[in-house]
Amino acid sequence: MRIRIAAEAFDPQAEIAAFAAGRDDAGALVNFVGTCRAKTGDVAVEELRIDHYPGFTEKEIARLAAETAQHCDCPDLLVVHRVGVIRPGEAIVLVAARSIHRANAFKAVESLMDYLKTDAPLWKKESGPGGARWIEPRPQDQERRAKAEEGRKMSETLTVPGGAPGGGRLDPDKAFRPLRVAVLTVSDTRDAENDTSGKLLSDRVTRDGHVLAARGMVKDSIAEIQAQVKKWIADPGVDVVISTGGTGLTGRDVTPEALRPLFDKTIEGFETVWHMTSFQTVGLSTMQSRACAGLAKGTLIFALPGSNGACKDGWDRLIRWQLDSRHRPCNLAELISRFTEA
Amino acid sequence: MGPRAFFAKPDGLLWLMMGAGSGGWVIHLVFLGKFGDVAPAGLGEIALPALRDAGVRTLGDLQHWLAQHQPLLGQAMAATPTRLIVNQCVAHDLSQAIADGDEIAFLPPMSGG
Repeated sequence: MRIRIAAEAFDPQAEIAAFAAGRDDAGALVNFVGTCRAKTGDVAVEELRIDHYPGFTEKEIARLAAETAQHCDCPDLLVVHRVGVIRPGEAIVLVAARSIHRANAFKAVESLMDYLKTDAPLWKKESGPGGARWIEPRPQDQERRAKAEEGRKMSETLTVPGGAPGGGRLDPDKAFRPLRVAVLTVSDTRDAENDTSGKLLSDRVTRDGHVLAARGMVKDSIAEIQAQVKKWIADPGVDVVISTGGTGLTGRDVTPEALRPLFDKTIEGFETVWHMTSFQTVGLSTMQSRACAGLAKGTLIFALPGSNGACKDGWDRLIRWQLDSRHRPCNLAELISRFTEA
Repeated sequence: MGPRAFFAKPDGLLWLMMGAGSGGWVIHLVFLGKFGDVAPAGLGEIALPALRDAGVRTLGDLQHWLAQHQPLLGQAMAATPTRLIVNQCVAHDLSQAIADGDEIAFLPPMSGG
C-alpha cells in the first residue's frame, strides 16, 4: 500500500507504471484519476486549492486505504493526492488497485474513492471570476459513502480477509480430518461433459483436502434423487453428500422435496447463513434459492443451486469451513461421530 | 514567552510554533479549510494560564471561549459540523481536558477526491 501527498503536479501514468512495475502475480490493475475541471456548471474555474493537515491527512488516508484493502480483500493499493494550487486539467487524485482478478480491484478503487470524498482530511477551495468558495461533499457523495459503509458492515459480519466468514479461523493446533464427500448433479439438461457445477464442487472437495468418495448425476426427479442419495446414506464410506441443482422455484425443481423426507434433522441455520452469504453476491435473487441442508442417519447432506457462482459461494464461504475440523469456534466435521449417538 | 517563529504554509494553514527553549505553557491551534479564512493570525498559539483564568479546562470550554472571543469563527463553526483533532487523534469527547503543549485542530467537513 502506498500513500503519497503530492505538493506538485504529478503524472498519473508514471505513477501507475511505477506501481505496476516488477509484479507478475496480479492479473488486474484498475485505476481512477480525478482531474480539476475547467468549469463547474457555467462558472469557469481558474484554480483549485486543496489544504491538508500534514501528518493527520496521511494517517487518515492510510487508515481508509487499509480498511478498504481489508474489506475488498485487495491489499495492493496506491493513493496519490494533490494538495496546494491546482490548475484545470491537472490530476487531483489517483487511486489504483491490483489484484489477482479484476473484481476485487474494481471494488477497492470505487469504495476507496467513495470514502476519500467525505472522509479524507482535505479541503477544496475553488476560485473563478466570481470569487472563491469552499467545496463540501455533495449529497450524492454522502449517499455513496453511506452505501459503501452499509456494504462493508454487511460483509463484516460474514467475512474476514483470507479467512473464514464471521470471524471464524482455523486453529493450527487442531488436526485436519479429511471427509469422504459424494457430489450429485441434479439436472435434466446436463451430461458428464457440461457438468460444470459438479466438477467445480468435486475439484474444491479435493483441493481442500477431502476425499471425493463418489460422483453422480440424476434427472430432476424425486425418485431418482432419493434412490441415489439413499445409497450414499447407507454407504459407510460417505460422510457428506453435496447436491447441485434443482433448488429453484420452477416446476422441475424438486431437490428439496426429494431430500427433506430423508432428513432426520433439518439444519435450518444453513439456510439462514446461505441467504446472508448469497445476498451479497446476487442481492434479492437469493429469495429464489431453496438451498437446504440436513442430517440423514449420520450423513450430512447439502443441497446447493445449480449455478457455478452459487456453488462457489456455498463451498468457499460456508461448507468448506464447516467441514474443516480445525475451524473455530465450531464446525460440523467434529460432530460427525456424534450425529448417530444414542 | 520565548521567541516565536511565524509562518504561513503555502497550503494556507496558519501555524505558530514555539521557538526553541521557550518552555511556555501554551496550546497550539490549527484551523483548517474555511475556518482558516476567519481565524485571525494571532490565534495559532494561546497561553494556557490565560485560558485557565478564563475557566477553560476542556475542549468544550475552548470551543465556547473561541465562539465568544472570535464571533466570525464561532459563527463558522456553529454553521457546520466541526471535528476536533487533538495531537493528531480524533477527539470524541468534548469533556476531554486540555493539556500543556496540545495541538488542537478544528476541521470543517472534508472534501477529498
